[in-house]
Amino acid sequence: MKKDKKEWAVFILWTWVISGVTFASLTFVYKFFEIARTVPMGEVTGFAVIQVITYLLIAIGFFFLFLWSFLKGDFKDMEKAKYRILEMEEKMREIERGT
Amino acid sequence: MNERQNPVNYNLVTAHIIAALIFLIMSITAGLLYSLQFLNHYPLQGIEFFSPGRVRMVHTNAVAYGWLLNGLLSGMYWAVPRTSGYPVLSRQLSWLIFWFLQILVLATAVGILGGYAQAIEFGETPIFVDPFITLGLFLLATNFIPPILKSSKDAPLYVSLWYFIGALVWIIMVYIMGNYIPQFFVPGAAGAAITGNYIHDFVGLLITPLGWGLMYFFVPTIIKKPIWSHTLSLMGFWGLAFFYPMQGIHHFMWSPVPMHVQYSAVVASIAIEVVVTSVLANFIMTLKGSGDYLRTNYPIRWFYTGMVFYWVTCFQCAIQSTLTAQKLIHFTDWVVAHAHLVMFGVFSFWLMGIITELWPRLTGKEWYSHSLNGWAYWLCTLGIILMFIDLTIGGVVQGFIWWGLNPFMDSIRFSVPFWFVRTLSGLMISGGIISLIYNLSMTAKNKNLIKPLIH
Ligand code: HEM
Ligand code: HEM
Repeated sequence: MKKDKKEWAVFILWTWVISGVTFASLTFVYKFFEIARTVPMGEVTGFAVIQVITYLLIAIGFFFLFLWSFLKGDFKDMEKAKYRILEMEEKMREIERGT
Repeated sequence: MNERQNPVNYNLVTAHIIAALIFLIMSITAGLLYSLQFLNHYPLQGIEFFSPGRVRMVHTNAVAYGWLLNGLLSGMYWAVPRTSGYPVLSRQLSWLIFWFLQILVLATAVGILGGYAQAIEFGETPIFVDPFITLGLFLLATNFIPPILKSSKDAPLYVSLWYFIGALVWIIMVYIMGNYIPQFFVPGAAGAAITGNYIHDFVGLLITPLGWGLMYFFVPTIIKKPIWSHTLSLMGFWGLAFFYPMQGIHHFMWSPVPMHVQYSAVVASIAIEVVVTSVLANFIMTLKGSGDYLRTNYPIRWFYTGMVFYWVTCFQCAIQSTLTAQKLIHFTDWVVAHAHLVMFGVFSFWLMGIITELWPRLTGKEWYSHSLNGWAYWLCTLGIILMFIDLTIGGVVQGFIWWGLNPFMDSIRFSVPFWFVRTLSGLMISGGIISLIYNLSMTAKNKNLIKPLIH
């Protein structure tokens, strides 16, 4: 019975996360196009071009980082890294204790 | 002991903490002084070098670059080598960056007081200082990215390291965009719209990712329990990477920026809050079953209080980004309340937690007084809650008075009691900060050692 409650909590949380990220991505795309649309219209000339260029430069870089991380296999076991840092921290503390 | 075994440079971490605290004192002194101007009791009246408008800029710049950046760097010089397993690129370069940063913050303060501020919010650093800051940011990336890349060959990167890469790369672009383009290439209304973007990117793509990156490191390592879901944390990071930029339009609502763009900025700002809630849920799930830490462990208490404040600011943000709320609160003290809650209540709280965690380990000494740690926490917490509520209500009152087209002086008369309470809350915060600093200095002098020192 207790386990069920926990599973429900996890289910609700993940539904929230996935719908949240979807919502954020859709609203971002909407905003991006609204900003880009002002360029040919010549409205407040200059502000949109700069923002779009800066965003694209950064986003392209991060897209490649994402791809690199994906191809490297980082997404096969996404939870692994969180255990590794705790092991490393334990080792560091041993060094600090001088053992 | 070779560097591979203990890659952390303890002296450097300590130096950044000390520099951060010195600038924090400078900044709250400027904040308190400036708050007296609102009560018509500014003590340095008539001295051009200390004219209130300049002192305000010293307050905000010392906070952002002197306190927050130094503090965040101290955390990074601790966390990056420990999470990656490798030291930063070069010890010499680290010290060079350290001194460079302190000189630049001082040069900024002197430049601003001398009347050379650049007309860009959060970019008031005089234009002749800007190229050095850009160079400093390049050096910072050069120093931190190599250990992260090396560690990516050993295993998948931990989320903190992703956040650090993000911040180091973004800030270079953001700084160039915000400080040079409006000044030289796109002046006027368009330039102002870009500076709005710069303000938000500065806080959202530098301070926020560095702060969260450090939380993802310190919380699990202190409570000795992994973050509840690393997958969720990575989703938070990639969400920030792709969907957080270009938020700044919400700083200039009802401005010449085309209305259709403003509408899109409102929905995008609200959407971010949903994502933020899931980041917080991850930390709450991590603490589940270990809640006692909130009672017994000061760093964890600072961290989680900051996270609660983060949620409150973000909830407030969702409201303040709407066009309806903007009509009321723009230009009022509501925004100042938001800025203090997030810059002090969140990121400064996290830094104080980090400093509280690291100081005994860096000095190898036992705490001089645990009760002073308690005083620091409670004075800062109650002080910022008071300041936030006071300025938020004050902001709404100011907004309604203007909305009703009453004489401007009426809004000043009604604001004075709120400004008085702001100064009081500022004194409480200062008391908290001084308790912490006094405790740190007495701890450093303490004779009781906790463990052998390793340098
Ligand atoms: C996604 C979350 C956030 C949203 C939607 C948001 C929204 C806003 C808005 C709409 C304003 C302008 C209000 C006005 O002038 O009328 C503002 C101002 C400000 N925000 Fe945020 N904010 C967010 C997160 C943050 C964070 C994380 C920080 C700090 C690290 C921050 C720091 C500031 C500061 C310092 C100002 C004052 C800027 C100025 O001097 O004009 N905000 N925010
Ligand atoms: C002793 C405590 C403090 C006092 C009395 C104080 C006072 C003030 C005052 C009077 C302003 C100008 C508001 C205006 O122009 O209307 C201000 C702005 C600001 N302060 Fe503080 N401050 C204090 C501490 C801090 C701390 C610790 C931080 C951050 C860590 C901080 C961050 C800021 C920011 C970001 C702004 C700009 C707000 C905006 O432009 O909307 N302050 N402060």
